[in-house]
Amino acid sequence: MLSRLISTRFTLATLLVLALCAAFASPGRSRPAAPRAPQAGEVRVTAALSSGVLKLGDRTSIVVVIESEGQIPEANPLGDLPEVDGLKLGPPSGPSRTRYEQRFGRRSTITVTDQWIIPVRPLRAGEFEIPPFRIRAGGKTYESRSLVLKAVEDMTGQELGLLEVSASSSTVVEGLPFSIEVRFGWDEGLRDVNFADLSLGFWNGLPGVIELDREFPAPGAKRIEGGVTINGGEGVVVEEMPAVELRGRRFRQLRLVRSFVPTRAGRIDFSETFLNFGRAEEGGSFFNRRLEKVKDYYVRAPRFYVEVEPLPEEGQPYDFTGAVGSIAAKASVDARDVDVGDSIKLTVEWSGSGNLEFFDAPDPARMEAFEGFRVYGRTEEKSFERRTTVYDLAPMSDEVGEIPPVPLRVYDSERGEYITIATEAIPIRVRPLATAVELDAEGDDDEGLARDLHDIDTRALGSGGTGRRAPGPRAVTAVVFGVPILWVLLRTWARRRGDPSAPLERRRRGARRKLARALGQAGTPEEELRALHAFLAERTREPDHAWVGRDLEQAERRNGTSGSAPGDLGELRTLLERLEAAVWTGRGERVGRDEVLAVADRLMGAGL
Amino acid sequence: MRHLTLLLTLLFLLPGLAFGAPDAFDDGVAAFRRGDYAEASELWTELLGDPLSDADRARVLYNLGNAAWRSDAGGEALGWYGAALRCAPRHEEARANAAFVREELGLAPLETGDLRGAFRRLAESRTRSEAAWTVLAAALILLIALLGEALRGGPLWRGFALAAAAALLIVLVPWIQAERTSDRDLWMAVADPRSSLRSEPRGNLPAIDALDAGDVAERIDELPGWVRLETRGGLRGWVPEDEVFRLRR
Repeated sequence: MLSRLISTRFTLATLLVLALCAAFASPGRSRPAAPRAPQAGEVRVTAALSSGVLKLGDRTSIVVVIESEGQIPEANPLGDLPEVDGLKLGPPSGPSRTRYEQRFGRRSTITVTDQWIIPVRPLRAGEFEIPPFRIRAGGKTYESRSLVLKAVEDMTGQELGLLEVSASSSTVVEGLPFSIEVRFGWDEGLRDVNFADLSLGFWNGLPGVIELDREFPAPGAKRIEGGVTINGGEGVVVEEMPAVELRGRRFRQLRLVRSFVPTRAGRIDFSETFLNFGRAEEGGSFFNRRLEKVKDYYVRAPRFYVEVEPLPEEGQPYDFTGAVGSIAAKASVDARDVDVGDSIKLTVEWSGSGNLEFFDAPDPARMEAFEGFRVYGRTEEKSFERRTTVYDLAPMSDEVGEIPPVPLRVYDSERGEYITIATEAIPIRVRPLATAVELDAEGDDDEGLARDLHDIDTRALGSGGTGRRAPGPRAVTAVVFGVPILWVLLRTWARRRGDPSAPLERRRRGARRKLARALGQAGTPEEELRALHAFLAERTREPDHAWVGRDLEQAERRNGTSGSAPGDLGELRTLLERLEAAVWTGRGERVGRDEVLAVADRLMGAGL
Repeated sequence: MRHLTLLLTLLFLLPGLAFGAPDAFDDGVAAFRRGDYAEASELWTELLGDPLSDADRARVLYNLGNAAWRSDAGGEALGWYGAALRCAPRHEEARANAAFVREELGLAPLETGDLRGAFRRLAESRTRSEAAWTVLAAALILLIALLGEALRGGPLWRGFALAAAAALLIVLVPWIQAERTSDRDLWMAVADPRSSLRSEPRGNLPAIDALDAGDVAERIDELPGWVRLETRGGLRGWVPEDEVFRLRR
């Protein structure tokens, strides 16, 4: 019995341990269930709409998720997006990639998930089927399921909102600026509207045109800043217009204008425009505050076109420089009473409606009428409504009586023909220079000033200096090479006695000068003696105190004192004795600067 | 002492008295002013046979260039200016007139304004005599600096010596250039627009190369009516004598 009990307990304990071991050995089972990964080599594609039903004008997006194990999708797996009539898809953004690694015992699997976001905007009301997205990976094609999107007209928004988009002209010629005006608003009764977003297809991306940098709203107009955005992002300043009555309702009216210059002939397509307005309130989490629409409406404006016609070739002047529009010109000068050659600033201003920023201003230097002037250059200022060019001219003779008109060839779009816009001639008075030849007119180098030879030299011969005979090449070569050789020899000889730039040598060379200075400042025999000791020590390359109390005869016997003559030594001995006596007895007088220097000079002359 | 002074005076005046150089020169000037360029050329050309200093020779050559240009001999004028510049490399008027003539003849300018051209002009800016004297002066300065360095030592003298050595090396360049070219008998092509080089001095042989007007080549041989030249590229050939101009005058 006991044995059975023990056996049963053992069995239970064993089972318990085994169960625990099994539990630890299979950790995957104890974790929360992971998403089902694709099988090895498999790619799974899923696509989903973030919203299946939406108002016309609103946007939604398709989220395409590509999961793969061991397969890396191609760089652009979505390829060309499917075309759906009535829907505008793309461009896609992404991918946002995540890697998920799973371990089952010794086996591990890595799943890569790419997520693509494709914006979708309906262009008309209706139900649309978006075909499956096909992905190619590892030589195989995988596809998602098809999607269905329903777009409904916001009848309330159409009723309560106002949106009109129009061009200043439905037909323009190439180069002629035109404007697009967007008038929008909402029922004045909607007091709580605090946002408006315009979906403008032509914003920052209209092919075949250049947008003009025109100030908007014009000065003096009522500006509205904040609250109006374009394409869901960029804020824009608009102009407040007087309220307008439409369809029996009174609308608050705002305006936005953009101007363009067409650069090529053809049709410019302005796709449908939407206005989304309503009320938005701040929401989101504490760290991610954002405006959330509480109530909003959509208004749609139909698409339209602007036809751009090419400039006619017929009748185009040879000096046509691209000016198009209805342009007026006027000119002024800064001085009208000048001397020949004086600078005159001719200011020509073109204004009106036309491509004022884009044509080339006329060049007077190429005009026959300006032959009497020299054109030094020009400066220009351009704006949407004004083009100002300042020419720097100088009259070449006193026969010039006026500044001729400056013509500009323009294609007048209203009249449909090329015309010439010219400034008025400006009378001037040019006075001749008292003592000068007339300046040369532009490009007229054959008369007046011209280049010629320098004249012959008429100075008498010999006035240019006598010629020195050149030293021969051998002499020059000998000198060039002899100098370094001489230097080497001299240097070797000089270095035999030591380095002349060593401190002791430099001290020795400066000893005489130092002695003269010290004697000049000495006021007592003691100072004279100290100066003399220092001099002797420096000349003999010894420390300053070496000559204090030195026995001269013994010193001479020991080192020869550089061969000083006995007379010189005797003189030095006498000098030192006199100075020492004067110092130690305290009664003596100074020897004097000249006498000490004379002895020093004789010692140096003797080889000290 | 009086005899010595008299002798020195005679030595200075002798060249002028003996050859009448100033008279011929002034006569040439007068002929030029009259517009008689042929006579002016003749007088000045005769003057070149007299012993003249480099400066005077350059002035005569320069005037000959002007006379040639006024006589509608553009290529010859270019040759005279080239010869003048060989005697006085810094003769700015000759340089300017040469540039003018080249431009008028439609030839490429000699000075292209690049670094190599600037170095070449610097190297050729001195006459042989000037270059040699400059080298000797620089050598004297170097000698002083080296003496100081040998006898006194120290960084100051060493620096001075190094600077003097560098200066000497710099002034050696024009001297070497002058010496290198002094013995060359250089000729300038003056035919319009180019002279043909032939392998033998016979006009019926085909041309083996050409010299553009203004090109300079070295004479290596001469026969009546023909000059054998070696171009800068090392090619040798014969050219009719009237198509080239001797720069050593």
